[in-house]
Amino acid sequence: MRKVAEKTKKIKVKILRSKPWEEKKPKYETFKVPIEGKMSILNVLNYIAENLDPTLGFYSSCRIGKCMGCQVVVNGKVRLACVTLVGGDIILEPLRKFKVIKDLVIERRGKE
Amino acid sequence: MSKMGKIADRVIETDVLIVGSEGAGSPASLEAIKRGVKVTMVTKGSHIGRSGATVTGDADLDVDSKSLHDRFGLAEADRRDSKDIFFEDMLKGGKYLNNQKLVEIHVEEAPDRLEDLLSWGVKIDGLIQASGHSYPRGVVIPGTKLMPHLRRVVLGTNVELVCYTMVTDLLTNKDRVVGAVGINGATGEFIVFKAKAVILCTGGAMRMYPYTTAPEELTGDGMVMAYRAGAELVDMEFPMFLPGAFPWPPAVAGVDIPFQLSTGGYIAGWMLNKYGDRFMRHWDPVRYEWSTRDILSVAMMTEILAGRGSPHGGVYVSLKHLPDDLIENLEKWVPPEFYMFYGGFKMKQYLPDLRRESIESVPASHFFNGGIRINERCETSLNGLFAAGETTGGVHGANRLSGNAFTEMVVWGHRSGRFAGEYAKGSGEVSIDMDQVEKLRKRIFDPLERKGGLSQANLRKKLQQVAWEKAGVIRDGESLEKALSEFLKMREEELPEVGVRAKERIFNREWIQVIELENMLSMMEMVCRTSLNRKESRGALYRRDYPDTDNINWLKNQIVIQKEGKMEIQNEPVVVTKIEPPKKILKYGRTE
Repeated sequence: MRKVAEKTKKIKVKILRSKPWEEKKPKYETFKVPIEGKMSILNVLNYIAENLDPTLGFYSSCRIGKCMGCQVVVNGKVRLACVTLVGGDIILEPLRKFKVIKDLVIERRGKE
Repeated sequence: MSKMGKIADRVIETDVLIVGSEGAGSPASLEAIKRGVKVTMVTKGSHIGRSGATVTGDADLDVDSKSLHDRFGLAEADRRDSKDIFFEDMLKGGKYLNNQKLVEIHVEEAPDRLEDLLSWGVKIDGLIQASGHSYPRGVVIPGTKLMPHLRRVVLGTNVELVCYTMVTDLLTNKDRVVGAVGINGATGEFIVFKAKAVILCTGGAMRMYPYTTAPEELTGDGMVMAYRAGAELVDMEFPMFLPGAFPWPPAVAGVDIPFQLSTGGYIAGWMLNKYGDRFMRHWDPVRYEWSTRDILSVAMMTEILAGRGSPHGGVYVSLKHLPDDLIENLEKWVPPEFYMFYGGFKMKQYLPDLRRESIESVPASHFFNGGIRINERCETSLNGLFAAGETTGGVHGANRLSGNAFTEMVVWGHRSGRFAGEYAKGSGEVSIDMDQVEKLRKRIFDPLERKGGLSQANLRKKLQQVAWEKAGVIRDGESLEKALSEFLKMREEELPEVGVRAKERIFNREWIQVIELENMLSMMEMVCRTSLNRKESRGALYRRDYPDTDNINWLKNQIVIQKEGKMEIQNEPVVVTKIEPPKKILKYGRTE
């Protein structure tokens, strides 16, 4: 029989948070997120926003790897949050070289 | 300080305001600006091509095969086709509810719009013949390849682009639309747009259902803001579903299962319920899993609602009737892009060993056939308000043909820009009613300023669950009555109690989601009321209690309009120009 209730484990998600309008320095914040089934980084971000911190800023749209809007830096590498599965603990940062609007949200215009 | 200065953080004055920047909005902006007027285009997304349904389209764009052969030199195209045959196929697909005046223009102008795309550098990736089409008409142009061209062309013009901005409401003054208001997520500003003409290119409302192939922001915003402003909507009882998405795991919930493995592909798996019954035998004993999308979705949902589904709320799709070596040899002849990749997903990560295990599959909300009622010039029933693309109704009738969403967005996007541009050019100055702006601002800011309150995420999930079980793929009088009363209760009693926990105005997802939630609830009221009235099954509406298509009493369109704060529905006979619809009562899913 295929198991439906897969064992829940918790991972640590460290996110670089910014509020540029307050002119404070970005700082890392860590959340603990339960992983049930195969979850993407976008699932994790939605979990945090819904359950832990509604102020978390991130952008997503198509959530199937086409609009490229949810690109973030995951453990130092540029990845799409929606199609990248979560294994263990992760560090999330906004794309480099773009102006940050809030947390993981960047100003796309002018660069493409 | 003026009153405007106190209420609005920013005022943008323009001639033509376009809401939505994708497959309909971008062509609209290019046509409007040719008229020598100022054009402002607003998107909820981070940039052109970074949101909306266009970029998710896999996708083909329908043009009659004769034009493809003679005008575009596509060797695989079939000269026996004609615009008239394309017209007839659209009516058969739409179960004769299409507005034939619109369909005539649609088939006539499709080749010209393909020409536009090619002139912008878009390449044709191939030609396919999808079901419902008598000839190969599907010019393959994935949305991901289309939108970068449109972005580049639009950025090369003087079209003013405003990103990260949700337009929430239209502004009216006396008998016309004079602009809109919205929130800019990047700056937190409440913006007042003053415009001589407004075009809504805001897409569908698929997010009302828990499983959907559509992007996150498609919550019916345009349709509901038009409704609130007093515009007419049409064919709202026809949200359309696809028969095959993953219900689980979370990473791919709502994502299409490669149809080459599930329904209608090279290899169609057997769809089984929990008793192992290949239930399509009750619905289509000839074609089984190769049946049409509407019948497949209804059959699957029948099993799911009866409790005969799979653990995560779908049905089983099995290839186990095939020998192991056949399954192992699939990858030698089925191109891997057809079943091993979807969007950015590598399907190997999500598919089980197909020799041994099944895939769970669920119908998913895919398209919205109805919407804002337009005429041939994309004019709505309100002066100064135009609309184009999926947010409109009339072109597809009760069901859309595969590939016709892309044709709709470019043909009608183009027309809306042209006619709105001309309208704005001939229009005098407009003035804004500041009391109205003040009221709208209060409505938008109320949830942000409310202390505590209910969770928007929970209410959204509740809405989606009720929509799914009682007002989705399968409906009946009793389920619709219940759903309607639940939606009204949610909107009147629970929504006013929903609070936004985050108080910042800059990029506040929860705040936007609360505004979307109100739109979704109004959309569901329209879906329920129009479905309740229509005592038959047709196209994307299946009513268990009235399973036949009644061409004697129901060759009618339902028009939804708000009058004195109440939703009213009027019936009108379908618009016929060329083809008389059949006059018989038919079994659901059959055209003749």
